[in-house]
Amino acid sequence: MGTALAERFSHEALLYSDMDEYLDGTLAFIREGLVASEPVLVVVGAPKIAALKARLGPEAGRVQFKNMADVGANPARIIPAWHEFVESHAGSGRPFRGIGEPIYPERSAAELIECQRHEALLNVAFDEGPAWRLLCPYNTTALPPDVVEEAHRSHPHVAHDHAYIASGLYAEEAIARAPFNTPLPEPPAVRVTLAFTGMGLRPLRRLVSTEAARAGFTSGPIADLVLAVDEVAANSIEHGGGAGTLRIWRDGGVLVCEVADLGHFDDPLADRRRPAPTQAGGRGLWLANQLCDLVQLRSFKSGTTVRLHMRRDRKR
Amino acid sequence: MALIDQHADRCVYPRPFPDGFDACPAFQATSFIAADSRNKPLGTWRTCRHLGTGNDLENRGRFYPRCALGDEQQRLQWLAQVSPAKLDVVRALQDEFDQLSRPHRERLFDARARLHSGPAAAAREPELEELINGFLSTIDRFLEQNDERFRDVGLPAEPLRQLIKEWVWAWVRTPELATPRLDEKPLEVFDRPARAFLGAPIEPVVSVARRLWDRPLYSDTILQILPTVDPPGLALVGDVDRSNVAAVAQALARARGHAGDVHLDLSGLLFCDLGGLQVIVRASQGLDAGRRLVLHGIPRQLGRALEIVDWAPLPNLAIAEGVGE
Repeated sequence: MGTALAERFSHEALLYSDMDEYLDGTLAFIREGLVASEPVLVVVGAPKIAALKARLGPEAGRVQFKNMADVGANPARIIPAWHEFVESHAGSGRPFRGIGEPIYPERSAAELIECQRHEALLNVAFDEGPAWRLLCPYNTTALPPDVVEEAHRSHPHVAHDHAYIASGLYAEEAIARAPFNTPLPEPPAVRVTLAFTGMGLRPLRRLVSTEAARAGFTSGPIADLVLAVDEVAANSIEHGGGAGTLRIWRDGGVLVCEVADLGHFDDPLADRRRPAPTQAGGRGLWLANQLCDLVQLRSFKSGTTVRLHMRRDRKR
Repeated sequence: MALIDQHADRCVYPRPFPDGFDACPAFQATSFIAADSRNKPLGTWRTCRHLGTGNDLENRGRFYPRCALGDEQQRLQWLAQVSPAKLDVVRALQDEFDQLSRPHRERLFDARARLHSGPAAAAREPELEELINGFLSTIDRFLEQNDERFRDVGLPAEPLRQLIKEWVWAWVRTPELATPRLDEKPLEVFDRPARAFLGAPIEPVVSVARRLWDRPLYSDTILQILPTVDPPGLALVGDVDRSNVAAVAQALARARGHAGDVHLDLSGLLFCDLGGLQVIVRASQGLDAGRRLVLHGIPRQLGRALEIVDWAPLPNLAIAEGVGE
């Protein structure tokens, strides 16, 4: 494994077809870090944390583990978590490394799209920063071929059969931005549509609350969704041409609120930078990502669309 | 003649309530089958769960439409106490239940009319019992499927099931046309504010500070900013959003002029966006060292939002315990 990879941020994919390959690849990566006294953070699913801990034995105490279901149920929360990790170690002068597996088979279609977007955005988020290594395991047996191909696109380095190869498909900025202006699929039957302006957002809040209650949500998630949609709609009024359109629909056990306006913005990381306590505004999308199960953000020259997803079976 | 209505708890809205009625923020639609004096059904009517009749004490024998929640201030305070989201959950459950139960209620209505109309009443009891059992098992399933939602609004399924059962029997046995008198005793198993979801009157809410309703500092269709005494400060009643956040900032700036801590009663808030929160946070940061902005009755969700955006804890901002969800 090339130490030369760690001159700058190194975003690596690990393709594995079974648990043995998974453990071989991740344990080698972890142990290499431990030998060099590097801080190691592993963010994967609970069963994999258990398997890794069992294999590491006492060494597991030197590795920090976080459950991906807690950190990254909404994939937009993963980059801030890595930011925190990077910030706490960047000053030490020591290298550090992590393992992150945001994609697992239980992900819904919309979540999967956002996971891929997240993987691409990791390059934008960390390329300019300090050098560290992030390994992303991909299950080639369980995941569809296009997801694995996408992994080649979003990771400059791909590990397979104990060897790293430079990904022939990786295309830097273009890739990172592409998912930002790829249209979202048309919704199934839309239940309600509401055009709103700066005149007042109470009707919009009432509508979201009523629809969420009718969809079977309890008051906690309803209040969260109302606040998130209100903030995104307020963004439309402030920055999106003074008006917007809200559409609400159900997709299985998920309620989706979409806010569309005529604004355009160019910052693909806009929704995943932790706002400073002192800054004036710009907290709406951050808050939406913390309150909702999934936020899909797309911006085109012709307008911006934000879809806020709330799952009825959420465990929070 | 004096035009002042002595009944502050009079329902001032048009009845029957039109479809999509939303002028009263506490409105809780429910449907009932109306009948003529011979027990013949006249169709399904929509009314409000909180609507009852009040006795006009000045004119004995006269009645007026009375809101069980009290006057406008009490309605708003109750709504803030239970939270608009919970009322929406109850509204949705009520709606689903009304639809689900309509055929049962219609059959029961007929059966009850027959029970009370002929001499062979005893023979009809088994038929009635079968109808009621069918209705109750439908209710059981509904309660079971929506257990989480009922618990969320403070109406756990088991006591609710008992209550409905007793209520259905009481309704059938009441030969009168009017709905049977609702005994309030069984309601005591539910939290006080949640009882109102079932039509019970509420106790007057003691707010954390005495609000000077007659001297509002600001008022629009969704928000009132009131001065308070004991402790001195402000109360925000209604929705704070981008349309009125400037007024909140102004009122807070004025409140800072007094000596000592500034108290902000948020127990009447129905909604507050991040801009509103920011104005509150900024007001606390503008205070001299040693003075605090004390938030009373902060809605649970607002406390969470404060944490998410890293605005709490802050040195001059205190969150008082108690009141609030």
